[in-house]
Amino acid sequence: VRSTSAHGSGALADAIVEALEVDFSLIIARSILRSALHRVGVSQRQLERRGMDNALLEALCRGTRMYAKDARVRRQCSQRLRGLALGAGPSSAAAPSEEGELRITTEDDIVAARQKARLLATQLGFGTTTRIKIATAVSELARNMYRYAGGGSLSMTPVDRPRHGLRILAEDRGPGIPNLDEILAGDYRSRTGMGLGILGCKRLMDEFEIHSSSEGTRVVAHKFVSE
Amino acid sequence: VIERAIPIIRLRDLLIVSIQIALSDQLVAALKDDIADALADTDARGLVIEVSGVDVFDSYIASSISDIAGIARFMGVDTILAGLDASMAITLVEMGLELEGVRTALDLDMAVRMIGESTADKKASDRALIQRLLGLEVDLSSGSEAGDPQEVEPT
Repeated sequence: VRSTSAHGSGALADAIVEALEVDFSLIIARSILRSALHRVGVSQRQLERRGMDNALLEALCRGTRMYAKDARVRRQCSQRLRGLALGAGPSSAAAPSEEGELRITTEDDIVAARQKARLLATQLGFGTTTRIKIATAVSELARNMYRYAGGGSLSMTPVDRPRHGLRILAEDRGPGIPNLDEILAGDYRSRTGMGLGILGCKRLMDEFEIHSSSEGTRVVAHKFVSE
Repeated sequence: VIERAIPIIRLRDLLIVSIQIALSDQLVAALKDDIADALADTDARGLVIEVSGVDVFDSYIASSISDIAGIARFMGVDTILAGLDASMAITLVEMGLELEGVRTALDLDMAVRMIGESTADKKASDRALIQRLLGLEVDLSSGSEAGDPQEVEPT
């Protein structure tokens, strides 16, 4: 038997552990979560229904203070956790979360963006493989903005029309992508894999629109839950 | 700042890297350098990269793994990627990404066996070459199984 998930059982528990793992080892990340749950008197199972609230957030941040001496690390960590609180919304899995915009300015934002994408995809009822596809597509978009456009913003929104699914919007004010047609036709390959990222993202999503000029780049992509 | 390097474990003639955290670009770049250093410092025959704990396998991570395999190949070391789960494999294929020069194994156990086998093949072909250079007859049937002890007929 092979283990594919190194983390806990629920989507939110996984997301919290992953957010903590950016700065801590897996063992410490798990133990911070466990003691925070203990402190607020919530079981792992209750956590998924209850969602991330301020009491839990506070308990988690308190846990990070025990392991991280660096104030900057603690602050980043608490920001990442706060992002999950936004994404998780008001607890019920049936009511998907509100729109959350993420600023992509550092490398860690790329990791945070794909973790949030995975959590949101789980809440919206996407299957395991599609969750990975969505998280991968978001990772590609976030990385392109970070690398080639000096950062940008990314938002993920649940949609109901034409079908139930997820809309991803990535916008930056970078210099634009000069050889976009070549890239989308699959004729262009850079050493850094830049072309592969955009093309890969297009292939992973159900709908993909991109507009790029010297003013910036805007990508709107959709993935729908299959019936 | 917390140390976040990924450990490289040496086991007999293998280097094993098991990635159990979400990879940032910085971590991937550091891993590339660390593996190159480790390959230079040891006489490893195989490199196994175990990725069952990786959260997302995107184009940057895929090309970095290909780069690592390329570096290893120049140093005479085989690279095997182990533990890629089905969802990630499907995602990679759908994106059209290729892991050039990388063999894959279901899990760590299989990866270690694959390296062992290719090492046995190499020993056999080395032996055949030495025999040929020395002008000896090459017995291909025993050459291919040179790693195994031969049954001796009782006389």
